[in-house]
Amino acid sequence: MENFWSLCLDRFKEELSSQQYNTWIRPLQVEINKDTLKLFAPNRFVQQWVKDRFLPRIYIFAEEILTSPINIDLVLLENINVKNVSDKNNSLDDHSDDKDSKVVYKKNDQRKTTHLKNNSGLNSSFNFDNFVAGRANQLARAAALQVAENPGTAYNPLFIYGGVGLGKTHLLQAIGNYLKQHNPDAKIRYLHAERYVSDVVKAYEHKAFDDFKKQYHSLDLLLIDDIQFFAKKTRTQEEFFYAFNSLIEEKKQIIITCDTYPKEIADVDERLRTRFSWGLTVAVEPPELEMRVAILLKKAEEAKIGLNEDVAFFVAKQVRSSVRELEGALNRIMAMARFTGRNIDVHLAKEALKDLIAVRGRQITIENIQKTVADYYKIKVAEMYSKKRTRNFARPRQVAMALSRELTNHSFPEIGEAFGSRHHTTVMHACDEIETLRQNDPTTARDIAFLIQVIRD
Amino acid sequence: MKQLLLDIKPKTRPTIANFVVGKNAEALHSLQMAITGNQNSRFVYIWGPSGSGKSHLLKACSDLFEVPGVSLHCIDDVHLLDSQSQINLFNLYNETRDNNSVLITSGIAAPSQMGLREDLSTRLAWGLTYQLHPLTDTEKAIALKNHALERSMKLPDDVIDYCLKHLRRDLPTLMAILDALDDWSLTEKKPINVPMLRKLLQLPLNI
Repeated sequence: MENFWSLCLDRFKEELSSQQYNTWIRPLQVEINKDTLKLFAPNRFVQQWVKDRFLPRIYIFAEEILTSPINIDLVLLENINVKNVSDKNNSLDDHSDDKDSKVVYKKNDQRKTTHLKNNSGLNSSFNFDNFVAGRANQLARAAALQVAENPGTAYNPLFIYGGVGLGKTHLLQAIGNYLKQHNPDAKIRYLHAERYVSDVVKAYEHKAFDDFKKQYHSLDLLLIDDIQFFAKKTRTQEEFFYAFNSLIEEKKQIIITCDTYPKEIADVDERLRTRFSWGLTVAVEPPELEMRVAILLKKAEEAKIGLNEDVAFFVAKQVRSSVRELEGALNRIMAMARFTGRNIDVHLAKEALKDLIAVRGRQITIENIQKTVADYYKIKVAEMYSKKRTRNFARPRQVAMALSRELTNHSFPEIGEAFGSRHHTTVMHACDEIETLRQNDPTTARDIAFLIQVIRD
Repeated sequence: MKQLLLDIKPKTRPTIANFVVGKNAEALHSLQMAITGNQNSRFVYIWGPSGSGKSHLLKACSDLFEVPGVSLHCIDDVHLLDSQSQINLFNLYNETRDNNSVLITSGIAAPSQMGLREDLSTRLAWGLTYQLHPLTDTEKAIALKNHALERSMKLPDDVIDYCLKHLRRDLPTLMAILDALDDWSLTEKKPINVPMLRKLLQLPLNI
C-alpha cells in the first residue's frame, strides 16, 4: 500500500503529457491510512478536475496493483486551513467578508462604482525609481520631480498630457508618494476625474456641498487623472473651478493629466482651459524603441526573470503603441514560460504575442474560399458551380471544397449546395482525395498551405 | 398521442471539467490561477469567435471562485459594451487594480481590435491575453460525448459521426442538437440512433 501512490504517479507520468501531469497530478498531497488513500487537492479547480478525469483511473490502478479494495478520499487542502482559521476567530466580520467575495457574473455589465477604502487613493507601487525615463518623457519626469520637491511653488498647476498607457498615472502617483514620504502629514488626494464627477453628483443628491468643498479645498496636493472626463459635465466643471481657485490661492499644488493639451480639451469651459495652462504644460510622448526595451528589461528585473536583450528588442519592435500593452506582452510571455517550463527566447515570445496582437480573424466564408482558389488557379469563379468535369476545373473545385470543410463550420451538404448543388458525397470524396494528395504530392501540399495562409489573413 | 415530458432533466452547468481543452491548456491554467488568488494572474482576457467557449469558461470560473475577502468580476462580450458601459468597465478595472480583486473578461477579438476606448483596450491588454483556439472535429466529438454522459444519454458513435458530417459544426449547434435528440428520445421512448436523428432533422428546430 505504501508505494501504491508512487506506482500511480509513475503510471500517470507515462499516460499524461508532462504539462497535464504537472498541472493536475503533481500538486496532489497524499496521506495513507490502512486501506484509505487520502488525496489533498490544492484547490477546488484541481479537485473537480481530478475527480472527473483521473479518479476512475486511480481505482483501476488499484484493482490492478493491490490485492484488497481501497477507499479514496479526494478532499480540499484549503478546507482544512480555512476551517482552522474560522474556528479560531469565529466572528461576524469574517462571515460578512466571505459574503463580499461572492461572485458576480454579468453580461454587458453596468455596475456602479464602490468606494475605495484608501483615502489618499495612492498606490505605493508607483514611484520615481521604477519609472523608466527616456527621451519621450524626460521633461515630464523632471517637472514632476521638481513639483514633488517644491509643491505649490514650482509650477502650479502642472499639466501632463499624452496618449493612453504612456505613464501619466505613474508620474502622478509618484509625485503623491514622494510627498507623502517626505511629509507624512500632508493631505494628499489622488483620484480619477470620473470619480470626481460621481462625488459631485453624490454631493448634489445629498445636498452636501459644504462637506464636499471642505474635503477638496483643504488638500495640500490634488492629483487628478484624465481630466478629459469632465467633458459636458457643467456642474462638475463649476465645482472644480472653485476648488481650483481656492487651492491655487492657498499655494496648494494641483497636478492634472489629460489625453490632450489644455486648448484642445473638448466640451470644457474656456475659463477652466485657460487656468489649466497657467502653470507648466508638459507632454509624454510614446516611448521610442530603446526606451521600450529598457521598460521591458526593468519589468523583467522586478519580476526576477532573466530576459535577453534580443527578446526584449523583438517584443519592443512588435508592441509599439503603449507601455501598458508592452507590459501585457511581457506578462503573457512570462506566463507561457512558467506554464510550459521553457526558456524565454524569441521563439516563445513570438508564440505568446500571437494572442495579443493578432488581427481579428476575418470571417471565412465559402464564397471567399471559392474566389481565392479560383484566382490562384486562374479560372473563373463561375467554374466553382459549373457542371464541367475536366480536370483543370475539377481539381481547383475539389481544393476549394476541402478548404471549405477545413476552414469553416459548414456541413458537407451545405458545402455541396454552395458548389452548384452538388451531392454531399461528392464533397466527402473531394475531401478524401485532396487529403491523399496533400500527403503524397508536395506541390499540392504547398499550394494548399499557401492558400490557407492567404484565406486566413 | 404525444408523450409529454416532465422536464426534470439535469441542467448541465458549464464547469471546468466539462470544457474540452484542445489547444487552450495555458489559458485554462491562467484562469485557474486567477480564481485561486494567484497574484500573477489577476487580470485575464480571453477572446475568440462565438462558440469558442468564452461564456462557458467565465461561468465556470464564477462558480468555482472562493477566495476570502477578494471579489471576482467576470464581464462577458466586452465588444458589445456601449460607451457608458465602457467607462463603467474602465472604472471597474481601476478599482479592481487598487483593491487586489480579480477581473476576467472576454470578447470577440484581441483587445485593440474591437474599437473600444483606447484607455479601456490598453487596460484589457495589460493583464494576460489569450485567444481561444477552436476545437478539431475529434475534440468536438469528445465534447459531445462528455455532454451526453452528463445527461446520461446513450449516444452511439455513428450518431456523432453523422452530426459532424451533416450538420454545422460549431459547438453550440451540435450541443443543441444533442439536447433536442435527448428530448425526442424521451418523448418517443426510443433509443437514439442515426435514423431517428435524420427524422428529427426533418422537423423545424428551435435552435
